[in-house]
Amino acid sequence: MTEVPLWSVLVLPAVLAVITAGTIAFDAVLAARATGATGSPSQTAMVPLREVARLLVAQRRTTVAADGVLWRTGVLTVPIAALLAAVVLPLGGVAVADLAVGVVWFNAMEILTWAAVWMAGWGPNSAFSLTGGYRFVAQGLAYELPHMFALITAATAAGTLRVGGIVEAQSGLWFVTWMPVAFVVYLLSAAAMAFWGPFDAPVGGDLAGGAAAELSGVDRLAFLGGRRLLLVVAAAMAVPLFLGGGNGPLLPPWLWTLVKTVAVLAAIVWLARRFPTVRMERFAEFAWVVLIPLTILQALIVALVVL
Amino acid sequence: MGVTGALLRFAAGRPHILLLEVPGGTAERFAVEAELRHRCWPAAASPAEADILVLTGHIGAWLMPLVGRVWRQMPKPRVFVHVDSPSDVPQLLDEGRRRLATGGEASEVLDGEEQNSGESEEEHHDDEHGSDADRCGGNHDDENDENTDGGGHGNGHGAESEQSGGDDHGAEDGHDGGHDHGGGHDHGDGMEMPGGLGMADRGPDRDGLQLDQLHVPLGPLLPDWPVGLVVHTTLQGDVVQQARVDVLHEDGADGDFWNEPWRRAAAGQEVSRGERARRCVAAYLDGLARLLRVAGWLDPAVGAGRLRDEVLAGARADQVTTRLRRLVRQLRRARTLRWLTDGLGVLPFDRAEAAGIRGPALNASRSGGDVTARWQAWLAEIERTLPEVDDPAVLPAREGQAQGLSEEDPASMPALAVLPELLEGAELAAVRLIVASLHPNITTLDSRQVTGVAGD
Amino acid sequence: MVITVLFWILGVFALVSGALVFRLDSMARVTFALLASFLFVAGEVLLLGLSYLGVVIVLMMTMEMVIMAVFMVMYMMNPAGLMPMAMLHNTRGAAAIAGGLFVALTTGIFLVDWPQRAGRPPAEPTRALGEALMGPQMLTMMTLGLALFATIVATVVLSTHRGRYERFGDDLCADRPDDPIPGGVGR
Repeated sequence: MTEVPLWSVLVLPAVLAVITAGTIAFDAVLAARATGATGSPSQTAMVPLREVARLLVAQRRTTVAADGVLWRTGVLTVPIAALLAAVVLPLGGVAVADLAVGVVWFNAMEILTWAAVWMAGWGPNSAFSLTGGYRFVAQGLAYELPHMFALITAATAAGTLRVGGIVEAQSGLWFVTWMPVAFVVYLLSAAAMAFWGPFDAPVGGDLAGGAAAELSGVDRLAFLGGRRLLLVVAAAMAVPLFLGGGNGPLLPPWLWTLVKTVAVLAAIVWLARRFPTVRMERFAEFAWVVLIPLTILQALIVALVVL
Repeated sequence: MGVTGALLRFAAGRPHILLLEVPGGTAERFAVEAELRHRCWPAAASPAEADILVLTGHIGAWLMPLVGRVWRQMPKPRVFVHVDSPSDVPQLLDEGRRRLATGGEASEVLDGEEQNSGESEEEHHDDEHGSDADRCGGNHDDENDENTDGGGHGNGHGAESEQSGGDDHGAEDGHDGGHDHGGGHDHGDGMEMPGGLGMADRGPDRDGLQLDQLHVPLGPLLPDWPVGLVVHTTLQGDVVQQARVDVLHEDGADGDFWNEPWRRAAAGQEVSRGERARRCVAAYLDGLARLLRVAGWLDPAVGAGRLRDEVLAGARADQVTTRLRRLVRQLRRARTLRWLTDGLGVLPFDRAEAAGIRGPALNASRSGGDVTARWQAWLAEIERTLPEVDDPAVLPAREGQAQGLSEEDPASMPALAVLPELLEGAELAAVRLIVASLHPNITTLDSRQVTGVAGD
Repeated sequence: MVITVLFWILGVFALVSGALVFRLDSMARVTFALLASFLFVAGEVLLLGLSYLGVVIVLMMTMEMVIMAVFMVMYMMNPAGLMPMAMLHNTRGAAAIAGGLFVALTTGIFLVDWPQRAGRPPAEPTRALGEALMGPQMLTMMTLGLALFATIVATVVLSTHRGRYERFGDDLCADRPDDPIPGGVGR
């Protein structure tokens, strides 16, 4: 493990914030294109800032007989879990903490959002909100096992749980080339863990916003901002796991990492708009009956190759 | 004020709009939707998300408290805009944004604290049902609820979930002053129940377990929900155990937007067949847009909405055909959408026929009868009716008579008769899709019958 | 020094949130108090240098507690406004058992001869753990895993009241299963 420079602790949140804002702006561009309106680029770039300003000046709501402790804890846990998951992300060979068990750490922090979304749904004493929280737990049970197998596949091939080690193992061949199933499943679960479309049922419009239905002001900013942060982190994690991390010709590693992250994010955000919201009553069976065997098979093949 | 004021002005550049339609506001809703598309202002899914509440349609006496409840759930700064005429929409929205930029409405007739003043109070007391609905929450299981009682709890924005014990929690402590932006009902008698809420009662679920039940009304002030419809649900988890349907009938509201050509024909005016065909195509496109929004597929929903507006605005068939066919083709090929709507809300043919359902919904029940079959039947209808939109021939008056009947009593609409049995046992997401696919207002339209007559 | 302070802080927090499990009056809060207690224990394990075990405790316990919350609260649909309820049952018996156990364990701690450390901690405790589990203890682990899995499947099979005859008809020849909520694969 190399010595961690202090600046990485400051740079990481800044980079993540910029990419998150970019994600929101890109999504706004796609939305504007669908409506046929031609928003000027400067206006589009303002969208994330306006959203933040809007939520900063808005009043925080409370509801009758709310469970304030769990509600606020859940809301705050989403961005915190996303940031904690991000500490193992290597930005061109430098991670804030390249833990020996980085992959498991990432997985554990991401699972904290299960508790977070459920608490955020439970807190406001609202049926729609609670249903949204429950939906996320169902979603978690559907995506998590294929997701874990996808993570294990990459770790098995590299022979280490250290994210830096996984990147080093890909200096020749990127993992995506010989474990495509794991990569696709990982992308699915990246969208699912951030309850991003098409897995956005927990905050779906059919539930008047689901787990976020009663959130306003700073709470909403923390919850939905944290959710986008989580999406960015999950997409960024695909780069060291499957896309060779900072490996690439010409450009410096940190730039390659950024380019690949942005590409993965753009693909996820674009694809999300191509599909209607996937309901777990349908996806859960698909995940367990189709995806789990596929990912186990993928892991088996990789294990045989490594042996 | 300095920083906050600047932030307010900056944030007001892209307000989130909660667009709600009540009876008589269809044309205005289209105008607002078009303007929102044009400005790229996002639609809010719940009052908590909204900056501006835009209401289209006729706000009657009993509706006022319901709107007030939604209003009180919105975080400040907030602005209320009532749209009376489609042509006012751009000015009203500009005005709304301007007011939002200066801090929104501080006091407002809709505000809870202001209930005792002005017109709001009058309306509140004028109508017994209205105030009943607003104040009394516990007697939901009571079969002889008034129509409007349903409305009382019916804005469906989550916080209203009601822990009705089916017992005597119907206390009279007025909830309006009690909490500001709360949602819930305080219909407890101020016992040691948390927040004055009653306990949920229990009932057997489909697996034979004793589970708690919640009584949650869906509608009428719910985005992407049929106008004036209230479904009183008994929920266990997110599974609807029982559903009861109410339609809010507002005296003085205009007739249904979709029936207009038929009504005018019945009244002896000259109505072209093209005009009627336009209304049909637009109705199915509107239904599609709503269904797609509920299904969480926004881009094609926006496309359907745009086409709907163009068809209504009088675009020639050849101007829209290409894009319409592209949309239809995209949806027909959408395997994910089919996968998600297959097997939901199956309406067998004999049941549909017995209930008096006509048009595409009846056709759909021949081919599966699920939500997929119904939206595919809409696609077929759109394709079939589209060539007629430029037909200048005059519609015979007797057709209007036949069509006008269903409008007298909205509660007798056939779709409403079958709705409860389709909804029971479904999950909330499925409930939204089933309701969207059996749009009560547009299921009564029957362009097939129309063409049959046109043939002679 | 820092580690010692952290150890004590985490230990106290773990105990306090553990005690809160019995003091709070809402099922949801109790569940998450228990989760907090586990997370603090995970912090202790991390301090001991067993990073894999520590992180896995976070991962497993969060999942388990969320699922437990769902199961516990599933039967009570009242969101947050649950009736306050006592989390104590069989107070006297429980106190006796808990006290007895505490005394037994504490005595054990003081009476047992703790072994002296022989050798040094492995460079990679995770690998050492894996090799220990998958080497000499392989048979034990496999048997244990299989037994656990069999128990889960058997419990589900025994508790469901719908079998294949309910789903596919008495002659098992229905095309699509008759389920209250159809699944996504159609099988």
